Parts: sequence; C-alpha cells; structure tokens
Amino acid sequence: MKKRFGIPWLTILAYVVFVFTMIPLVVVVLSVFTTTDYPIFPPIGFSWKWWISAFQNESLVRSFSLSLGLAAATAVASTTLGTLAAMAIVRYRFIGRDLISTFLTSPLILPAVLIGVGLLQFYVLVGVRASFYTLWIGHIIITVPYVMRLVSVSLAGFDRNLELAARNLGASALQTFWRITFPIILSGIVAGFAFAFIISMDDVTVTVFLTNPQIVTLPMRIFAQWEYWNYPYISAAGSWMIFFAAIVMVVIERTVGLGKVFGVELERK
Amino acid sequence: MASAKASVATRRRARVNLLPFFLLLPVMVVFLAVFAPAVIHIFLQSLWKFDSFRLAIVRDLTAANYVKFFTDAYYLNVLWLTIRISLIVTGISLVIGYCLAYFIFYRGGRFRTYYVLILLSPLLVTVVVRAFGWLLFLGDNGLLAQFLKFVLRTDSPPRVIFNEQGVILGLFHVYLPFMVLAILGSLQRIDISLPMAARNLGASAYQAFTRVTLPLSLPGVFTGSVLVFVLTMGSFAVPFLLGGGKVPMIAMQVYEKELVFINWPFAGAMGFILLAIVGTVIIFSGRALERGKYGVVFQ
Amino acid sequence: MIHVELQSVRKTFGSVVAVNGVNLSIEKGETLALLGPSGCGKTTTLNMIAGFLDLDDGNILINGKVINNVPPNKRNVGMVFQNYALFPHLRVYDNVGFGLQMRKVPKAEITEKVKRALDMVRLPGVEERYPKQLSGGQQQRVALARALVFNPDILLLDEPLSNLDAKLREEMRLELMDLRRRLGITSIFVTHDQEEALVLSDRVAVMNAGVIEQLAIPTEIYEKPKTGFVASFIGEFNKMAGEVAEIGSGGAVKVKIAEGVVIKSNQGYGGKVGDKVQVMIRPERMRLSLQATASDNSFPVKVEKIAYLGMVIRYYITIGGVRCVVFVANRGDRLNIATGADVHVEWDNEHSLIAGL
Repeated sequence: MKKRFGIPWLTILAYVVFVFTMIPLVVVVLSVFTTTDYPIFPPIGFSWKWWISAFQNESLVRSFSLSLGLAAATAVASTTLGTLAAMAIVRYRFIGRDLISTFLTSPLILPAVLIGVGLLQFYVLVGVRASFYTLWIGHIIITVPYVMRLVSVSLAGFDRNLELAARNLGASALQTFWRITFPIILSGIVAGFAFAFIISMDDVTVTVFLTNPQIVTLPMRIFAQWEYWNYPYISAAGSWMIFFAAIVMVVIERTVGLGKVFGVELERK
Repeated sequence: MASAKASVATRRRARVNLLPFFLLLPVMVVFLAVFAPAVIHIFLQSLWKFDSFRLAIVRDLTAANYVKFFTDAYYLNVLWLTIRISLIVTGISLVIGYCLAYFIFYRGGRFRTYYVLILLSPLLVTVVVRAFGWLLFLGDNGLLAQFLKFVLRTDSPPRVIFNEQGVILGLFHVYLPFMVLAILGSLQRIDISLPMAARNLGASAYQAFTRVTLPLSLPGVFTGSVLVFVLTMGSFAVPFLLGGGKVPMIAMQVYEKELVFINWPFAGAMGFILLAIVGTVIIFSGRALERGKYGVVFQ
Repeated sequence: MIHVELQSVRKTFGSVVAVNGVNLSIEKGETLALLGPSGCGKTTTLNMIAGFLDLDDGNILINGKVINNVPPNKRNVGMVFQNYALFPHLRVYDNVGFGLQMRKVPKAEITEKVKRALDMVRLPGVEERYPKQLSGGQQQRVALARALVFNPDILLLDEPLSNLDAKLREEMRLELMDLRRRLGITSIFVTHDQEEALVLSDRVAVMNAGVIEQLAIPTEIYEKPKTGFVASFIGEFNKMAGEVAEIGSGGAVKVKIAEGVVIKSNQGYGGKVGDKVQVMIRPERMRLSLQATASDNSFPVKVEKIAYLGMVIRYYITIGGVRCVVFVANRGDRLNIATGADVHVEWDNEHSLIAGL
C-alpha cells in the first residue's frame, strides 16, 4: 500500500522458510550424483553411477514396482468407492447420512498407528496372512476419505439444474450421469485418484504393520534399512518418489488446485 | 385415482431411497467388514490381559493395560514427552506459520500461488524420504555439520539429529504447511476493506493489524494449532527416524509394543489413549470455537 | 473556498491506466458525485483521496495543503465503504467509537459522541449489538455514523446505496439528502447509479476510461451532455446519424437523416454544412399523436412494438430507417394506439442535440 523502508524482516523470514521447506527434497535429489561410496550433500563430483546401480538393485526395483502397482490398485478402488459414496452423501438425504459420512471419513481423525495395529490384529484374528491384498484393503481404507472429500467439493459446486435440463431434453438418468454429471465432476475425481495414489505410495505408518519380507513397499524398504543408510541408491529411490509426487502435484494443481485439496482456495488476483 | 397417485408417490420415494444405498454399498462392505471390526477388536483386546511369560493373550476382562499406562512412570513420561513435543511444534509452527501466511497473503502479490505451491510441495513426498534428506543435511557429514565445524572451529559440532531437536525440526517441517494453510484460509476470509477502514479511522498500520486483522484471523490460528497438535501427537515415522531411539513418542511405543514385544493388548490400549486425547482436543476445541467470544461473528 | 483539489492525478496498475490526469476542485460544503461505469477509475480516485493508493503523478490537496504522502490514518477523512466494512468482531459501540479511540478521546466523551452519532442516523440504542445482528439498512447507518463521529474534514462514500434493495435505497437516499443539508460537510461519493448521482449531488463528474468527460450540475449533465459517452450513460437517447444540411442563424441547424427526413434543431453546431453528425433526442421529449400538429419536427411513423412498463409506456418506431423509442407517461388516459397504428412522432427544436461523430 505504502512504500516501506528499513529491513524487510518478514520477506527475509519467508524466504528462509521457503528454502528450509525445500532442503530435504533438494538434498535427496542432488546427493545421488555423488562419486563417493556413501551418500553426501553436497555431492562430491558428479556421476550417474548410483542412479544406474539403483536400477540394477533387484530388491529396490521390486519394491518400486510393488509400490506403483499398489498405489495404482488403491487409487482405482478408492476412487470408485469414494466417488459413489460421495454421490450418495452429497446428493441424497437419508436416515443415518451424517453418521455414515462421519464413519467413512473417520480414518482421517483416527491416529494412523491405531488403524495399522487394528488391521494387523484383525487379520491375525480372522486368520488372513499378510499379502498384497491385505495391504491393498488397508490403503483403500486410509485413502477413501480423501477421495470422498475431493469429489464432494466438486459435487457441491455442481449446478443441479444442469441435470434437470438434460432430463428435460430427453436424457435418461444414466445418460445424464455419463454425459453431464461425470464430465463436470471429473476434475474432482481425477484429483481424488491422484491423491489416493500418492498417499498409498507414501504411507509407512499403516503399512509398517501390514508388510512381510515378501511385500515391502519402497518407503518401507528405506525405512527398514534406516540403520544401513550408507547406500546412495536410497537417494535414487527417494528421487523416484519425489518425481511421482511432482507429477501428482501437477495433476492436482491442474484439476482442482492444490490449495483446495488442503482447504484453502487462493483466488488469483 | 387417488390410490394411483399414492402408488406413484410411493414408487418414487422407494427409488429415491434405494439409490444412495446402492452407491454406498461397496465402500460400506469394505469398512464394515474390515475397518469397523478391526477398531472394535483392538478396543476389546485392549481390555484383555497379556501373559508376558508365555507371550499370550488371556481373555480376561481387565482395565490393567490402561491402569499400567497411567501409573507407570515410564509411560507417563512418554505421554508427557509426546504432549511437550506436540506443544513445542505447535508453538513454533504457529509463530512462523502466521508470519508466513501473512507474508503470502498480503505481500505475495502475483507470486502468491507459487509461494503456496513451494510450501505444499513436500507434503506429497513420503516422510521417509524427507527424513533421509534431513539425515544427509544434518548428519555428521552433512552441510550443517561442515558449516558448524567451520564456524565454531571444532571437530564435534552440536548435533541436531537423532535427538529431540532433530525430531522437533522434522515435525515442524512436516506440519508447518497445515498451520499456514489454516491461517491463510482465515486471512482470506477477512474483507480487505476492514483493515482499510481501520486505517481510515485513524489506526496506524500496527493498530490496524492488532485490532482488526489479528482478532479476525484467530479462528484460523485456532484450527491450525489444533490440527498441528493432533497430527504431532500421533506422529510415528519422524520420531522413529530422526529421534535416534532417544525420543520415544507415544505412537512409536505402540509400534514397539505391537511388533517387538507382541503385547497387543497394551499396544491397543495406548492407541486408544492416544485417540482419547486427540478426540478430546478436537471435540473441546470445536465447542470452544462455537461458544467463544467470536461465536456470534463466525457462526 | 476550495476545500479539496485534485491536480492532474494519474494512477496506473501495471499497463492499465486507471486514472489519467484528473482535475477537480470541490468547494467547502459541496457534494460531488463521481459517476461512471465500473472500471472508469472512480473508485481508484476515491481510494487515492482516502490515502489507500499512492499517486503516480499529480497532487491531491485538502485545505490547500498537498497530502500525497500523508498516511490514511492521518488524513482525517471519513469514509463509508461499499460493503460498509463494519468490524464483525466489534460491537456497534466499538465500531462507531473506533475513530475516537484511535484519537485517544476520553471514554466518557466517546460514549456521549457515539450515542449522538447513532441518534443522528436514527438508530439509537444499538451500541451493544454486533454488525451481523443488524439489517443491511441498519449497517449502512452504523457505517455512516462511524465515518462522521470524529468530525472528518471530508466524507467519502463508495457506492453508498448499492447494497440496499430498491425500497430501502429510496429511503436512505432521502435521508442522505437530509443529512447532507444538516451537516454541510464536503463530500465525494462514487456511484454507477445515475439517479443517485443526480439526486444527491451538487455537481456530477462523469468519468470514463480514467478521465472526467463532463463536470457540471445535475441538470446540465442531463440536459446538455457534452460528449456521446455522457449522453449514452445518463438516461436514454435516440441517436440518428446524418449530414448537416443547413446552418442558419440563432443556432438553427438542419440535419438530413435519410431521403425526406430532415431534423430541425436550434441547439447550434460549430462545424460546417456536409459534416457527418449525430442527432440525439431523449425518448421522453418525443410525443406521439394521431394527427400531425404544427411541431418543429413531425414525422409519420408506424408503431412497431409497445412495451407496457406501468409507469411509462415505450413505443418503438422507425424514423428514417433508425429504430427509436418514445416514452409516454402513463396518465391513465391510455393513448388509443395499438401495434401497427399509423401515428405522428413530434418534438421541439430545442430537444434535438447535435454532436460531432
């Protein structure tokens, strides 16, 4: 508003925090290029050898493909289940609606360890061995609430007169959904898919209780080898994760906006 | 005639009632078949006995697990440590987060969206990778250590990892964005003409902030603080990875009891104690916000 | 005595010129309306007077002193914001008393002054309420009381009535007129509502694209718009393009619109015969009659369409190939004219305004 003089403390602080925010990511991505046998930041020299060796490391690649497959499977399932549920909850009034809504979003409030512990003990109780599918179910449970929230947001902003107009023009209920409703709420669904994907890929707190030596996701691989972190290929694995996070971020920003996912809507001025 | 009308009406109502049921069916199957029984099961089990000699669960109803937690000095210490770290992280996030939110909103200009993107970008990267980054940065060969060695002219500079400071730093990094977002949200809801009106009525820039902007942003401050506190209370990976085993926060204890000591009843009990604390905070803060002085203002 | 003066004030936002060299002098006790469409620079001008925006160029003077660099809180200018900007977390008492608190007025005096200010806006006894508990009209009154209570040098109003519904707006308009007369405070208000500007102000400055197109008393703005923009912005005009056919003495001009359609005017024209010009006639200055009378301008036309609006009836006709509208006040004796009827449209010389193209 007015010209300010003196030291811009606020600006300096803000930039320091922005740098701080980016430190761990930048460090991971750059440290992989070191020529040393141990990871270090800043890297010493420049070489692709750890990148290459990471792709030759069988267990790491197996974990990576498991993580990708699990994340994709989780995203598909959660998006389907979550979208249907969001439709029901936003669109209809029925007995127990609030209760069901709270129930389905409760994994957001419950401490994640509690969910992990609960699932482990329940699987043992009913005699199911840990497998890809038990992990998958666990990930669906923790990602469905996010999908529901994102789809609900786009459904809430949806003008229902559009559907009435389609019906009035002769479309059946199903045609109306596929040709009108679905394309319009698609951005919310895509954002929900992307978010479910990345949450599944990132999780350790629930996953740690549901893995066995045969099923180790990528973050769990790093987690489990924490004491032996002296391998730069962990940096490489970290870079892969950061790469996928970046893709998801772009997808979300292009669809509903990253701010909206986390509850703020910054209008562009 | 009248009955025909009535039957049309019932058919309509029946159709309207069944559709949401079918839409909810798949997700409810998963949640009712796995999630709900899992949570109920550990709650029941937390009320059972654990025979630590035979490492077996004895199905005798008892409150012993809960009693033990609240009477054993070690666990009370864990609880206090967890609350203390959560308060510290919340406090630091609040101060820094407010400044940051204020900067982004009022000084961000056309870069505002980019600032928010920078702030949010680490959120989508798994905590494990971020912890690894901190390890490289703060560890013995890291940039910080090298810098401190150079500045302090010592071979053993103070460490900010594998201890409480490291955990606090890591948690602050993870949860700061949530605080900023909450405060940003409330700053954004403040009509821009309000601080202008204050200036017009004779308030200095500082007075306009303390009398108008700050009080009106309190709901965001409040929500953000509750959110960060609750999330920190339940954090597991950061204290595990950056605490070097020296910062036993409650979620880590749950993990240890569950997987290392296989004392499932006690692990479950700790999980529910954590849930009780977190739930109490959420419920009471919700009430406080509704009933508080600003209830009239913010609905 | 000149109270507020703007000297070649200029303001740009990036590449957009919001205000482009505005000059204004406002007398003490005068009310000036800044009227224009959105984006014309009127609100920017007001914000510069209040001190919320820096000037790129030019000066703003109050009582002969340049105040360009005086911060908004030191200007002693009262302002009523478009959305009232009442502090939602403060009671009405603290809202109205805010300016006094900032001026470190003793408490007892604040209470007294707040009470008087609320009495003045006819809203006594609401001190303890919060703004949200008041209706839109009441909030408007509180905002007004808040802007006046600390005896500002001048009063600024940003679209003061735009947030009220039609009925309340009429009521508040009368009240503002009354208040203005009682207080005699120099005031500047921004509006896009021409009626509001005409009713409430001593002078109107019509703004467009960052410049003042015309600054005059309300009747002159309406009767003698200087530019095509002012003419089209205030009220309605029938506009017909034509060619100057004859320039006589005493301002007499004849303009040929089409073959056999020549419009007479006595408003004068500075150019020469053969110029392309525009003739503008207010729809309410035209008359319809069943028989031709001895009017300055009279043309046989066919009624093409009738829009019955209650208070007025609009008749659509075509003169020389140009679609025109005639307003006829509804006096209860409805003209016996139906769609398709052959009638005569007539008006007097003095109502034909001529503007260059």
